[in-house]
Amino acid sequence: MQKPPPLGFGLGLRPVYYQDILETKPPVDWLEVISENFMVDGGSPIATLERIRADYPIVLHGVSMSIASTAPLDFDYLTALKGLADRFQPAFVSDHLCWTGVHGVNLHDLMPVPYTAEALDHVARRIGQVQDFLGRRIAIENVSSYVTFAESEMDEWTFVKALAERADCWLLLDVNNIFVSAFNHDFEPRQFIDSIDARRIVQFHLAGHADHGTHKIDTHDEPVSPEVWALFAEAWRRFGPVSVMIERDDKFPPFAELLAELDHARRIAIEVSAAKIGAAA
Amino acid sequence: MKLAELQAKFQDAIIGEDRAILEAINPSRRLDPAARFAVYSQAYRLRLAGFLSEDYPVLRNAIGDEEFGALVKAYIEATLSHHPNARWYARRLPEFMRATEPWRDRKEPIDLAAFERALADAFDSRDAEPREITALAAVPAENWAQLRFDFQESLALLAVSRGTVAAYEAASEDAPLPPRTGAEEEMVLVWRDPEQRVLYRVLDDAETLALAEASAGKTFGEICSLLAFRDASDAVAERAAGFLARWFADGLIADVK
Repeated sequence: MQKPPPLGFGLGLRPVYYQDILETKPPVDWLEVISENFMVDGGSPIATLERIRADYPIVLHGVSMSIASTAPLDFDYLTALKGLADRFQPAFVSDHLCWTGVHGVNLHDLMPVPYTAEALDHVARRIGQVQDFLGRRIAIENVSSYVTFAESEMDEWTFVKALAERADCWLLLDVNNIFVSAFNHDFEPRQFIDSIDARRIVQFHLAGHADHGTHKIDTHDEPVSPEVWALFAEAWRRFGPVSVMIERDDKFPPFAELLAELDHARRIAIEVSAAKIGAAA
Repeated sequence: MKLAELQAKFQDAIIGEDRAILEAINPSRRLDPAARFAVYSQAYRLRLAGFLSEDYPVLRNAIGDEEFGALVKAYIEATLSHHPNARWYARRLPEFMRATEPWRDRKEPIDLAAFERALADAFDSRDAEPREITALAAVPAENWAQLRFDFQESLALLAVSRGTVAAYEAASEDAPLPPRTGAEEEMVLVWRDPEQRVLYRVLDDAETLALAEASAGKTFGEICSLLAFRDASDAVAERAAGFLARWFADGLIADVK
């Protein structure tokens, strides 16, 4: 089971930053592309991605695979995804451990999964079907959630670990999502990180969230919080080096601020790696 | 509860009033099941409203936040998304306005929405390499009458109330809307040029006729005949050739047959 090599430290490719990226070719190791934004017939989005791809490795990150839905897999969607992957040759393809709708409806949100044996069977089988269709292993991301279900029979991390084994897929570990869900559901975030098989992790997500006092929401509209940086250090200690990226989807700061945030991630990774080497010496 | 039933109940609660799903949700230390679930139901509406605001920023400027907010709320309650790409959710807003009180009788905002949608459609329509006017050089002059033209897929001809383009330009700049000048229509051409810029211009009646017929597959000779019938002028061929030259220059023509 050969993991894709780490890509380094990346950012999300968002239209607001196209000009910065095209004109200044910033020191970003790679870019994460929202797959659905490029499932169009042609025009500026595709032309822009062609130009950017010439200079940067990319990962295709989807939000609509709806892998946990009980609706049939959408093969029109998967065909479009395969076409994008063939054209742009991403380092890997990822989506979320969630469902986005049933009965032909798309809710455009990452809906929570009950952690049951039935759901585990269902999602693992569908990941297998998707991987067969795409002809590649995909990476599945843990989401932020705001409810837990009475039906759940296991912890989220137990479910995620078992899912990766059963489906033989990669995992994209969203460190902010672990932190947000840990607060919302009263678990210890270290427990999640300590439970996951390091051989499955190919990427980290980092992002900001909103704190509503009674709950936290994964909003991607703030800098990464100090608590999430601390958790990232733990994750890097256990899983690093893997590809890292910072997600920003609202209240977009100047691009230089994201680059500075990415440098902070680099510094933490270097410090943690150096400490590991020191401890081993 | 089986997974399929849980997902159906969860979705029903998000898009409607049924709250049967709450029995399956645990309380947290700080929130009851209803408050926890509300994170999802509120996010659903906020996200769809965001799609509409992104796709119709000029309509929003033109009619103001309050009316746009009411329109968005009504559209969301009436319209489910069936496509994985959020890009398509807001496409039917002009049709919704045409069919729904109190917007159905307000042609000016409806036309503004239709124009804004045409610009969005041109933005990511299928690519085709535009032909240069030199493509005509290989055609003997006596064969020009039989020429037919294929146009870029991004091309749209839009009949809107007169002043729509001026209103669009004013609202884009947050400037006061110019007064409308009556119930007549103007014909607007929307397309994407080879540099991927979405462009538009208002056409006069003769060019509208020529372009509509040419894009419907009529020959250059037939277009000249229609223009001659309409204008009874000697300079019809020159005028039609002028239109043709401009369409080439604009990158509108994808093929010549």
